[in-house]
Amino acid sequence: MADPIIEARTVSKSYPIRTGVWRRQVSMIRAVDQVSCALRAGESLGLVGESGCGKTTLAKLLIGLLSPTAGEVFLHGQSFDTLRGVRLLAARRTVQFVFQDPVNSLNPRLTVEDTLGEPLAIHRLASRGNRRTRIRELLETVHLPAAYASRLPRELSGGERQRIGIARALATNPEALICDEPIASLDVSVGAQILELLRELRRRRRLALLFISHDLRAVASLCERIAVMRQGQLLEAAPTEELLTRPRQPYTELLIRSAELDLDAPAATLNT
Amino acid sequence: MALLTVEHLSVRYHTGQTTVQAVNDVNFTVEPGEIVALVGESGSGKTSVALALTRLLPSPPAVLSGRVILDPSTHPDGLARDSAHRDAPGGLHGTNLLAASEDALRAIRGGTISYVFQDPGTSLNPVLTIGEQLLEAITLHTDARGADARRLALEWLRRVGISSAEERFGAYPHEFSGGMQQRVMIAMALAAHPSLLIADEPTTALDVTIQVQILRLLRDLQRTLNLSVLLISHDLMVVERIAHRVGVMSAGRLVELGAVEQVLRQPAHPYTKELLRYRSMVSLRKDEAHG
Repeated sequence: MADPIIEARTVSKSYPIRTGVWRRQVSMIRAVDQVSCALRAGESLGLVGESGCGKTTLAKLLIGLLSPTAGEVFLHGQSFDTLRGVRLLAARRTVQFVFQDPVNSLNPRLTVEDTLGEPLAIHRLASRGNRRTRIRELLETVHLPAAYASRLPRELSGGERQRIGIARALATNPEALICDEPIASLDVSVGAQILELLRELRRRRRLALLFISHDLRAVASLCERIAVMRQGQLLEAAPTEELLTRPRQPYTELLIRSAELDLDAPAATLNT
Repeated sequence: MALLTVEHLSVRYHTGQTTVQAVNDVNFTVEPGEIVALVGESGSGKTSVALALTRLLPSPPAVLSGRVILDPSTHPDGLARDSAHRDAPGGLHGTNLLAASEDALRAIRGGTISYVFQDPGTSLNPVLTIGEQLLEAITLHTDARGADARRLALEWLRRVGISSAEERFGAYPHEFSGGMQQRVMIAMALAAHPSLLIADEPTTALDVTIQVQILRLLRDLQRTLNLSVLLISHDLMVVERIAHRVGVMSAGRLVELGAVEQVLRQPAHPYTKELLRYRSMVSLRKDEAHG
């Protein structure tokens, strides 16, 4: 098995709960509770769970946007905590992030060219002269016409904006993409096209993918492996087929039945 | 005669110099005890249709034309009214709702035709308790008062599956989860004894496990109370599970209308085919995937 690109070893992230005038800390909430997982080269891993289960917090821990309260995250075997300066920058190139909301994750004042040019400049990936060519390539990769380079976000549809979000993530030639609910705010048919694009990118570039979603149907259609989260914990992880046919946890079974909209299944007792 | 007959319904929005045709010559009926679904992308005009039926669209900018007819004789027996007087205002049944007076419509809205919207969080009043809001719906649209009204409210809370209704009665909306808030919305909508429930994306904002509970509730209520439902959705799978007939909307037009099995088996319109393609693409069963 290939070495993991990213690996989380029993990471936890807790937030204090404060009340009263003095904002006294009364307890802690564990958003992510001792989770271990790994994303290997070329692998597509789906992370499912309901709202508030800690999916996004885990994603942010995995790319070092948040630092864990316990445990460690490793990038190619190196702890994120030990990375500084140039090496941290290099690490950031390896794993890139695609956000849920294509509207708020793009700067409304920057043209597509500026947006895509930023990572190229920060990471010194293309000289000023090459930048144009590279941006055209990126647009081509996400199937947008080169003329879009001069457009502003508001001149793009939701699906086009998400394509720009993906192109921006691809600008650093990452080994892995972490996509946090990338189709949740899109229309059904537009979301389907984004799924197709991600599938194509995986095939063509051997890109590893961590696909985070509340939609088990979308996850199952794209990912080889699925991990199920609930209340901050990773309940189980298994190859897609196995997880769908032989779920080990009752909660996973409930998720599957819910995704199938099985109205005659016994009423859910796990939720109130 | 159908419970609801919609003929040549059009909605235009005048914005500045331009006019947007949001709904274009839409025709359909809803029979008593039937669940009719409208599917389509955002912006296809689904919600405009739902709101236009009782003229909930501010006019201007909205300009409505066509006819929306409500037939009283088809009122479901399971929901026999406590009194006859509610039929009285303006004698609206059998007449065109689009031409009715505002006063007459007010008696219809939330009463004979009630609504459940997508986002329960913003549909409930945050400063009133769940009980107060349910009581308001009941006293506005039925004859029940005082202890009777309270008894009815509690009964509805239980009916939509809220346990320990007595204790929850005094709770505020923020103390309820999204799924429970939506159940309260459904209880409020049904407590008014509607003939027609219009549910606009009632489960879109909810987690999948809660979605199933709400859909099951809608289906069971339709069966036990012979309720008619106009369901607005973008999810073909939801429609497949609970609707009898489905209309497909695209760019303001109703491009396809028929029995659910028939539309799913032999989609006529390209847009319907596209929706079906996505449905098979994200199927959990392997044999259907990537079809």
